[in-house]
Amino acid sequence: MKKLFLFSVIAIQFLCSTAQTATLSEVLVRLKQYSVKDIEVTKNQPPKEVNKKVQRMLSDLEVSVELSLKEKNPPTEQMLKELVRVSVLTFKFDHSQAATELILPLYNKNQKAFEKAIRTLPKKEQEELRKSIKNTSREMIEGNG
Amino acid sequence: MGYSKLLKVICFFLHLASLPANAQSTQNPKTAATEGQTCVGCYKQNALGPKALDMLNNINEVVLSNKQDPTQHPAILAYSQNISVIRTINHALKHKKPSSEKLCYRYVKRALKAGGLVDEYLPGVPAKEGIKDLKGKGFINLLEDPRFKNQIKTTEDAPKGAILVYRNTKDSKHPGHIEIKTDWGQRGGYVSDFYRSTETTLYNRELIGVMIKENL
Repeated sequence: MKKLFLFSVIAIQFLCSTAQTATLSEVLVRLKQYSVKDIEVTKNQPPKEVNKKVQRMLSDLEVSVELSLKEKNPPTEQMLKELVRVSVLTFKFDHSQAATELILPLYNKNQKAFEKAIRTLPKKEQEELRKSIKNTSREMIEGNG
Repeated sequence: MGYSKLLKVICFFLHLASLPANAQSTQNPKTAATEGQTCVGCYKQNALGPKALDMLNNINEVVLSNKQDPTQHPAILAYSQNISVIRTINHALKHKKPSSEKLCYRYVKRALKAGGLVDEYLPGVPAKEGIKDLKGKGFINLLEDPRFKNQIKTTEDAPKGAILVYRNTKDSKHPGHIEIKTDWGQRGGYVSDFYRSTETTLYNRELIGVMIKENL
């Protein structure tokens, strides 16, 4: 009876963990699906709905970075391009620019590759992201007071 | 023996006869309480002593005060309507940037000083230490105050002009965030070095302080 109970607990835990954990390729697919339409406030998409989508974007960015940091190999060019594109996308609605805080650990480990990915963005967005990275790095060291 | 048995039987019948009369006196249909309510009138008709009645009345007062809008509390009203608070909000709104420069606490400190809520520039560096810094200047944390902690739990509950302090839920080394609520309930927004409306949520942040100053 005890063995059966232990086995069922382990089985449930395994199922739960596989359901929660996404792979890098799965998160990359989700990141690719985000577009400007997701952050546009319209009659059919009120601000609260946009806010939910932005929170999902931020969550996917966070998971992507966490998984990439666990990988032995450096992140792919495609992944970095999506990370910077979605980050800048969230800036249009989320003025706290939380995305930068999420991608910063990976940026610090792969600065050159990140810079290459940033150069694929339009100029204005490049400047915006670079400024945000600079501010966030300073905040982590010196604080925000 | 036979006589005592007869007496017992008579007493039993007398008791039965008195029951309906008692039941009528304890349940008055006009004053009966609905589920979840306390009917003081019902209890008053029972043979309860004055102490028990006082206790019941006190219970009713506590329930009512829990339902009261905390924003109507004199201490909160006095703070939110104070000219220094209005000046602080206006200063912050005037100097905000389009998006965060990751200097929220610096901008809030400037606004507090300009509005006159503090007499000097606050000393701390990380925003999450704002609670300690503000307490040093006579502020109280409504999330900890026994008068308000059951009623004020979210940013929406926070009164106009309250200083909201957050910690990062994922990174304990992160300096956190601080901002000023610009109006009551969902009408206003939140301002620091940037402005955000009530429809936007802060990511990975937990509210740890709703600070106001009493006796302004």
